[in-house]
Parts: sequence; structure tokens; C-alpha cells
Amino acid sequence: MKLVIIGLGTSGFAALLAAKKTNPSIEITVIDPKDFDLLHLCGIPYGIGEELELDSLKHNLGLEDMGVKRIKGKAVKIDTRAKLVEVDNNEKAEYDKLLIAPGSTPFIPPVEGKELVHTITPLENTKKFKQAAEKAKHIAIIGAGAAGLETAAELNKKGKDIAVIEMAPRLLPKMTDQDMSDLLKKQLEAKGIKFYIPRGVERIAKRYVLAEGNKTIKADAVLMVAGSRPNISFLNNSGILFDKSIIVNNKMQTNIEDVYAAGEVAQVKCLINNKPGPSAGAVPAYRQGIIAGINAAGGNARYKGIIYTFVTVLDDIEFASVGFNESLAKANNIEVVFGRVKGTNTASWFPNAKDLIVKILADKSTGKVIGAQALGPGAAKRIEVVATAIAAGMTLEEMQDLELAYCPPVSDTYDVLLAAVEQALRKLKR
Amino acid sequence: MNPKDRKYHPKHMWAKIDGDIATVGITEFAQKKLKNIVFIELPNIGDKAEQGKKMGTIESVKLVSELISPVSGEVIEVNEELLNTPEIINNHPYDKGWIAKIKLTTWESRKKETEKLLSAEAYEKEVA
Repeated sequence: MKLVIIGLGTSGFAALLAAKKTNPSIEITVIDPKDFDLLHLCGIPYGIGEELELDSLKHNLGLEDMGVKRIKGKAVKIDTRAKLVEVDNNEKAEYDKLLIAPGSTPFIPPVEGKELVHTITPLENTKKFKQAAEKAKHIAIIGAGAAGLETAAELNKKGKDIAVIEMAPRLLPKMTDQDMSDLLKKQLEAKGIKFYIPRGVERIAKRYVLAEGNKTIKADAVLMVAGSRPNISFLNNSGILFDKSIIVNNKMQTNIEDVYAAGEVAQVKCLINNKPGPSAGAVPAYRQGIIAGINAAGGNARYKGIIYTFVTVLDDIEFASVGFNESLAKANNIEVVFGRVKGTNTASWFPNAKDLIVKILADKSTGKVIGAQALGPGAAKRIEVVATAIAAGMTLEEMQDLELAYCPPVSDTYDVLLAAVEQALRKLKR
Repeated sequence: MNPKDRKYHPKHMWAKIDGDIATVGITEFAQKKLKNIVFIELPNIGDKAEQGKKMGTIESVKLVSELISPVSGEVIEVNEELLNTPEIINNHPYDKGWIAKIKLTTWESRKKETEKLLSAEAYEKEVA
């Protein structure tokens, strides 16, 4: 049995391990253009800052020891009848089962001066940006998603003058509501980061960025982190169905029986509305890779669905979220009831207790929890509870009975999350 | 810190009287004592409020406190925004965090009641 994996990222790596565990005699070939194995993408902002060396994000997987063959190149064509993948170095790989997991590429909007911007990947571009940033006094970051904000916070720590420009009215627009975004923005502004939001970019020049409203923002270096696009253009005419990303079933199987897809190229079921949605982030990519790997190797596994669990650490600010925010709920015709409570990360009487704000959102008609956002130390701990609750289909009422871990330095007898649940529930019953 | 354009009830409520309408809310001292406010039960429009009597409740994570009406009259408006975001009171107890508007009963009772309320200075001494 021959398994070919296109892309050695989170999904490809997870699939490779799972396939080997499922069927130790499986022959695996990996097609990937990098001159090293895995890159820990989520560590890049910390590598641009002072936390770590960019090269330490390269991870050697010991593919040879596992008996995995490696083709260095990019897949350019798939022939699903002949079961053959063509690579840009003219090599060909035959498969019995194929996994498509080449990830995504930074998206650069068609703006004047776009050739002057830096991108956060691939690694050689990261390095160029890091060098430019070291020489720069003023740095503009276009896009207030996780990568943009993390990079902003890291460079701000190094004493750079940072401007973040975002088109949407919120920071982390897919995760936050306006109220939580405003609170987060205030905390980042207090650290000296400047925000131009909501503002589109009109022109990029050598020493400045011109933003909407005729706003000139000084910039010796510009980083574009305005999202990414799945690497699927090579699938044209392959017969593999894709829309914005590849359509798969819960076995991570495409419309072609022996072809699987996972990670950022795949469109997976979202557990909140049971509709297909984009895959985002490394954790779902890993899980999808496992499911695809098991199935491709002859096992039987199902992907349950995505709920967009998220955490970011910006300097010493922790923000986490899961599920739908108010605008996603609205787009899905869900009427929302929310509870939002400012409590403390520790027992309220404990020394140096810090503010921890938790907001929980539920479907007004059913009481089912659909999302949450938390800002402050310990945000992720609370969001992980909500992620579990959403996966279990719990209502606010059911969440009230949860017994959470308590010790004064990390929580309170009545945790701020449960206070938010109570508030939402009482609003619902009012 | 307590605005001088209004009167205070010793149960930590303020009343800003304009003609025969009093806008009422809780004081800075009260919001600080409550800390993070999570819930408020407002009176209904049309309810009769009586000076010194309960007109609703206000809760923080660890306190449930009665809202005592500083004046008598009929509730004609409540700040419904507080139902969704009661923490407005923490941030703006004297303006955006107002609780209700009460139409005062009669001219005589208004005068008698107003005399019982405290000035900003007198209230500050009270809570000092």
C-alpha cells in the first residue's frame, strides 16, 4: 500500500504518524518544497521577536528512520485515474491513497506598492522581514489577526514604534465582539501599540503607508498579514471538487475515493451550525491529519467537526475564544443571549488578583452554548471548558453544574466563567 | 467626586431632580463596594416607588444588595441597557449608569422628601 502525502505541515505530519501506527508496512512518500521537514508556523511571531531563534522553529522529523521517502518539490498535477502525482522537479509519485495537505499562502491584496511588503511565511521571507524590522524605527503591520497582533506585541517589546492597520472594525475580527475587541485594544494601546481601525490601506510607499481617510502612517518596514489562501490552484482539472477549499466528508475523503484532504485546504463541518466551513489553525489540522491518515491506511475514523478554539498571548496579555462571535451568530440567524462578567483570575481576595473578563454566548431559543471570549490571565483555561461544553452540545443550564478546579492562585470557588454562565441564564429566563 | 448637581440618600442612592422628574442611580461609593456588577433587577414602568423602600436589587459576584428609592413617585422609565450590560454602573454610576426616572408625587411631598436627602458634602461625610 502506497500513501503519498502532499505537504509536510501539521496535517501531513499527523497523517504520516497515524498511517504508520495503523498500518506499519505502509509505504509513505511525502512531497514538500521546504529544505527541512516541519516548520512550527505558530512560533514565527516569537521568532521575529526575541523569544527564540527563527531557525529553532525548524523541526527534523527523522523521516528516514521511519522509512518515509521524501520528494523535494511542489505537486503541480494530480492524475486521479492513473493515480499519479507530478512534481515541479519532474519526479512522479504513484499512489494507492493520496492526502492533499499543502496548507496555505499569505494573501496580498492588490494594493498600490504591494511589492514593498513583507510576508510572514515562508521562512526566507520571515527572515527578510526580521532583518528589515531590526533596522526599522517605525513598523506598520497590516492585519489585526493573531499573527499580526502577536508580531506587533513582540516587536513592541523590542522598543519599535508599531502601527497596526485593520480593515474590520475589530481586532481578531473572526473571534471577537466589539466590546471584547475594545477592551483588548485598550490594553495593547497601553503598551504603546497604535491602531488604525477600521481603515483600509490605499498605498504602500518606502517610508509610509497611506491608509483610508488620507492618513499617512510612518513605516520603515511593512508586514502584510491579511489572511491566507489555500494552496489548491494545482487541482484545476483534477476532478477533485473544491469551492474555496476542498470538499471532504467526515472521513476527510474528497469526492474521489482514494484522495483525502486535511488542514487549511479542507472544508470541514462546523459543529455549531453543522454546515461546512473553512478549517483554521493547527489543532484542527492535526486532528484532521490523524483521521485522514487512519482512513488512508485502512482504518476507520471520523472527524467530528471544528469549533475554532483559539488562544493568543500578546506580550503578557492573554486572549482566548471559541465558537461563534455575535456577527457569526447573526450571519447564521442565531439570536444570542450573552453573559459577560469581569472577575479575577485568582480568588478575588488573593494578592495581585488580576481582571479576567469572560463573555459567553448562547442560542436564545435553545440555551445551547455557541461561543465564548475571555481576556486576562487564565483566559485559555476558561475557554477550554467552553470548548468541551460546545463539543458536548451543552446548554447554559447544564454548564452551571460543572465542577471546575479551584485553588486560590489560579481560580475562585465560584469561577468567573460560571458567573458569566449564570448571568446569561438569568437573562434568558427574564 | 460626587456631583453637586443632585441629592443623596444615605442608602447610597442619588436623585437628580429636574422639574417633577427625578433620575436616580447608585453612588460611586456603592459601586466600589459592590465591585464587578453582574446583574440588576429593575423596577417595572408604572411601579410606585417610595422613599427609603426597595425598588430593585443589584448584584455583584459576591454581593446582593437592595436598591432603595431616594424619592417617592411613579417609575416612568428604566435604563434597559443595564439589563444587558449592568457593568455600565461600575464605569459611569452618575450618568450612563442611571437606573430609573421617577415622576415625583406631589409638590408638598417633593419638598418634604428633598429636605431629607443629603447634599454631596453631607453624603461624603456620611460614607467617610
